[in-house]
Order: sequence, then C-alpha cells, then structure tokens
Amino acid sequence: MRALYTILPSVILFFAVHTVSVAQSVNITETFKESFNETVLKVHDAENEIEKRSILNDSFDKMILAIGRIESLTTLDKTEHSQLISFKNEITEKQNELNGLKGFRRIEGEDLDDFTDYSQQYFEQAERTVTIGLTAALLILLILILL
Amino acid sequence: MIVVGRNLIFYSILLIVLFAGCSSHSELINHEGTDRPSAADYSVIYYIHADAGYLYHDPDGQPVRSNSRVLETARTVAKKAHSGEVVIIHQRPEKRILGIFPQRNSRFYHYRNGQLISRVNYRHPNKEETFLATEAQLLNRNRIETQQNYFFYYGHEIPTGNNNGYHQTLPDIDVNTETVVNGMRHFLQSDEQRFDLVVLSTCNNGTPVMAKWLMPFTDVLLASPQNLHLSHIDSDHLAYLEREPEASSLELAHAMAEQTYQRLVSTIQTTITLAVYDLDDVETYINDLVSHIETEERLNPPVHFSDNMDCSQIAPFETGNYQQGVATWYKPARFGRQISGTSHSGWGCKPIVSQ
Repeated sequence: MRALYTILPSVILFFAVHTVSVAQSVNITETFKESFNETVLKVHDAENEIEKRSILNDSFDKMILAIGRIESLTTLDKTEHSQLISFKNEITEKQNELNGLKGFRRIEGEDLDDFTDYSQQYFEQAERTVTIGLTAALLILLILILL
Repeated sequence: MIVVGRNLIFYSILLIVLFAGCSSHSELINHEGTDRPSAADYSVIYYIHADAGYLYHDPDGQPVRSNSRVLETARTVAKKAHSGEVVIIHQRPEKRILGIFPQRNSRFYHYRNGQLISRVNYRHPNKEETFLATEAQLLNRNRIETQQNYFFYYGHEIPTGNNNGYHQTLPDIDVNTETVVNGMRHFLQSDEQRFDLVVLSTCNNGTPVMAKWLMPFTDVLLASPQNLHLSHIDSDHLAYLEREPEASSLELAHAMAEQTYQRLVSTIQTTITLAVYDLDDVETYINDLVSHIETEERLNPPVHFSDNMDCSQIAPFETGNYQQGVATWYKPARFGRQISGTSHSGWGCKPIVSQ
C-alpha cells in the first residue's frame, strides 16, 4: 500500500510534466484566421466607408505587428520563417492595395466589402504552418485582441 | 487474499487497456458476410486530408475545420451509390492521450451498395511508411472487382519534390507527386486496371508533370492548374453514375467542373482555375510540353513554395499548341496584381525567378 502511495503521485507527476511539454507548441496560423474573421464581420457591419477602411487598416497593422513579435521572440525553422515572411508580404500587399500605394488603384468605397472577402479568401486558402511556443502564442493573441 | 485478488484484477485491466491502445486500428462496424449484394459497378475512393491547417470561415463567418464539409458530401454520395462501392479515408492529426498513448484518430469508411459495411478508426503504426500504405491495406482486406474506378484527392497542393511535413503530425511521411501517384496505384487491383477519372481537389496540381505521372493508369484528370479556393471540387455529380451508368468519365468530369465553377464564381473573389484533361489526347504531346518547360526552367529556375502561373506566360507557346484534350474554366481574381486575362492554357507552372 505504501508503495502505491509513492508510485501513484510519481506517475501523475510524470504525465503532468509530459503533457505540459507536449502542449508547449501552438500553430499560430489559426489564430490569425480567427482574428481576421472578426475583422470581416466588423467591416460588413460597419455603416460607412471611413469606418470600414479604418477597421481593415487596424487589422492589417495588428497582424504585421504580431508577425514582427513572432520574428523577434521565437526561433523558427527555415520553412516556417519563409512562410511567415511571405504572409507578412501578403498582408502588406493587401494594405497597399486598400490604400492605393505601390502602383495599386485605391479600393473604392462600394468595393470594400468584396475586397475584405477577397483578403480573407486569399489568407485562408494558403497552406501555412507556423509553430511557436505557448507563451509567445499568448502574447500574439493579446496583440490581436487588445491593441 | 482479497487485496491480492483486487490487485490482480487492476493490473489485468491495465494491461488490457495498454495492449488495446497498441493496436493500430479498431473496427467499430463490420457488416461483412450479411446477405447484402456484394457486387458493384463502380468504385470511388475519397482521400480527405485533414492533418494540416484547414480552418476556413463560411460566408456567415462560421468556422469549418478538418475538411469536414467534404466529408459530409462524401458520406452523402456514398449512401446514394446503390450500385457502387465508396471508400472514404479521412486522415486526421494523430494525437496521444497524456502525450504517450497513441489514439486512432483517422477514419476509414467502407460503403457498398449505399450501406456502410465497415468503419475503422486507425492510426499509422510506422511513422515513416510510404504514403497511403496503411489505407490501401485496410481496403484490400475486402475488395471486390469493379468495372469503373474513380479517385478523389482533397487536400493542400501536392508538392513536386520531397516534402516532409505535409502531414503536420506525421512529418516523416514523404508526400510529393511521385509518392502520391504510387500511393493511388495501391488502390488498383492489377497492373492492367486504370482509373476512369482522378480528381485532384488541390491548388496548383493541374501541371504537365502531374499529367505525365498519372497517364500510365488514368483516363481523365480533373485538377486546378492554379488556385482553387479551398480546393473544393464538388463531387455530388457522382450520383450521375446511378442515373446514367453508360456516361463517360469525360462527361462526368465536365459536369463536376461546371458545377464547381458556377458555385465558386458567385462568391469567390480570388482566382478560380479548373481544367479537365483527356489524357489519351494529351499523351500525343506531353513529352514535348514537359521538355519545353524544362528547357525554360534550366535557364530561369522556378520559385517553389509559390502559386502557379499559366505555363504559356512562363515558357511561351503558340495558342492552340498543347490544348488538345484540355478544357478550362477560368476567372481571374477581382483584386490584386493579376486581374487581367480572360483565358488560360489549362497548364500550371511555378513562376520563374525573374517573375
């Protein structure tokens, strides 16, 4: 019986430590998709062009900021790093198009809903896996939700 | 004595649980050997990949995960296939209870004549096995001969070169053009048997190289040379096989492409490209086309990990060349840098460095 008292807590402790260590990695791309989906819903609900444009610009800014934090806080392998950079470039490209920069024509007010859908469809159809630590993932979540 | 007996029962149960967990598959339903008819006119294999990032949001903002809508459609098709055999493989992430005990998360559904005759929860016992080896073994336990054979692949782009990491939780299983094509061949029952139709519901796989690899055992290919939003080709038209059993696989592929295009064109703002390849016709010039592109790629290396472009923009060829046996459905993106162009050669290639 005494042996059981020793073995049982050891087994529980082993599983607890193991589970925590396994749960340390998070695929952050889903967080971005969920965050941008909130943006899409807000843009569709917004009443005027200025509000829609502002929501979109804020969302692009936050995603670019979050990617910058991931780059500085975590160590990614080569493939994940190139996927992250490619994602950042795509967001920047969409923001340039929204605002008529870098050779793009500015998106007209009546096209903003469709442009938002286009941006979401573009981001969601790409295959990306960027795995980061749990702490960094929580920080990214805070940036995307609170800022 | 009572304590010893109790311990014995406890450890016996523990051992049973542990050994049960070690088995790579568990069959939940098995209706083999009943008096149901065991013949089928056609066989459809669905491979639905879900071991990667497949989250997207529908037009109402509702999240859809794990290619679950494709699975729903496949099961509906299977229940209506009264004269066919339908196998659905849903490959999901492999997880472990408490990080140690492997779970059998993937699903294998086997329907015959509209009835579910077997459902298996499984995992991959060998983490470096060849692609589709476990799934083919599960099916080959109980095969019947069919006249027509169809293969539907739903997933992310199948890369041309070595690609470990296609399965997020099984990164050592190599998935590329060669391994996928060889994996599909496991589902044919002899060297003489062919697929009437292969559908690659993925982005960027309507390429000359893919057509060349599939040609030895496939009559018709439906694929996307460039982007296809979330890679969802509609398969509801398989019900056509029940109404028109004499219909050709080319007609079926055209009907599926048309239905998919009409659905996507009403809601999708990104590029839509679909192509049907009659591989008998394509065979007459595929070697010329492949070497034409390879010559261009030797001069200007292609950029891998990027979306395809129209091959005719990368290695220009005369309009009409390499078009025989190819039908395309194309709509450029409404926004972005590539909004011009109203036609597509039907062949996708990776952009070259200078582009």
